[in-house]
Amino acid sequence: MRYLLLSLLILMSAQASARLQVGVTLHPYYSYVSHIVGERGDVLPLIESGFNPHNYQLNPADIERLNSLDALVVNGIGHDLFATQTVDRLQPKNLQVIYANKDVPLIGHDEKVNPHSFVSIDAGIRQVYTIAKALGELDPDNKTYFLKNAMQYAKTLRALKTPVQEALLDKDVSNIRIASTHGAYAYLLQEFGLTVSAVIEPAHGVSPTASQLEETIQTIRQQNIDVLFTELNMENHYVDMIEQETGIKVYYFSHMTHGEYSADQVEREMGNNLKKLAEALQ
Amino acid sequence: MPNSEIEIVPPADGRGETRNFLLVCAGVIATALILLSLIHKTSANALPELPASLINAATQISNAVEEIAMLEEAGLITAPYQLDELPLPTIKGQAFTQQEDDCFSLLTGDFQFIVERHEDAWDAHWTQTEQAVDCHAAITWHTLNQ
Repeated sequence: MRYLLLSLLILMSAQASARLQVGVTLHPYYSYVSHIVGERGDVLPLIESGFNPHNYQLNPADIERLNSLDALVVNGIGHDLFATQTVDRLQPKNLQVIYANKDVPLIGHDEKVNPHSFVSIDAGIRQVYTIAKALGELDPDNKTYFLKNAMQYAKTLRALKTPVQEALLDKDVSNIRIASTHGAYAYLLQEFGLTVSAVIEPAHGVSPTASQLEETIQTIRQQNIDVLFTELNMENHYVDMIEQETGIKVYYFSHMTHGEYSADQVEREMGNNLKKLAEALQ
Repeated sequence: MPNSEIEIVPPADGRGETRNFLLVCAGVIATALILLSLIHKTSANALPELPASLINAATQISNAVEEIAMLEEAGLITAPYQLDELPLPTIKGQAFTQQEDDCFSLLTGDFQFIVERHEDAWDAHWTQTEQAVDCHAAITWHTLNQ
């Protein structure tokens, strides 16, 4: 009996250690990887929720977590420098770094590349496939399972586009002029043939100065901007002033890097973004 | 006053100083010109980019390539390939056409995309061209995420 229990314990611990331990740096990657690995792996955020990934510094506990991972999924094009710089410096043994944007056609180039490819359906799907393939190489026994899950998740994400596609039926979008508080929505808007005419924030989370605000108000008036997309989870007091001064319609989008990590965050928040976009285009 | 207490200071060699100054100036200008020419050369050799308006098209095509590969791996599509069996996207109202058994292309504006099956894998490329060209045309093809 004792041997039987011991064997069972050994078997269970071997099975637990065989499960892939996949770290993620940003909220959307938590959703992507959770859908890909399903019950056959664990998804571990590298940093706890509530921190701004733009200016976070890894602490010793984070680095210890990093060393226990099989793989780390990173944005790798500027939105998670806190992780990529540390990984480059430490080069942890046995850690496979998965650059989610490796195969994504990017907006911008060199140091001016737009890193918000996760605020998008198509570029998001491209990242889901890259991650699924990389995890499949790391765990060949589950490769088919991961790829099947990735395709299913892609189908779910594509279905979120429906409200906007319906709003755009027989509609000429070439005359719609859009401004956004920062460049996070360029990938998403481009999926529907929309382009951003003016970006207001000088940098992410940095409020414009009085003169920059004045200039922005002038730009919105001169360019006849129709709608302004701003960020849901950030305090942008200056947006109210812009709304009052110009009469522009303001819509709030989620950047998907706030709140608790959850598998359904991308579906939920991107679904809301797309409903807002459909509303803005009516 | 005795002569022995007079210190004679030799006049500075003005011509020598001027020559050294001009040499330094010429050196600085030459260095600046070399650096500028290097910068210019680098930008001239920079890879051409897809216009921003086609980035999403490239992304959709890249996704389609992955999906085709997965469908083939699952045995859901096999050679000879038929255009209507492949999940290729329509870009700005333009659909892909089948050029050869293993090659599909789409021309939009001055850019052409191709999706083709090589011996071991599917991949996609783009090129800048005013008219549709053959999949094997001897022109420069770029990968989608360049």
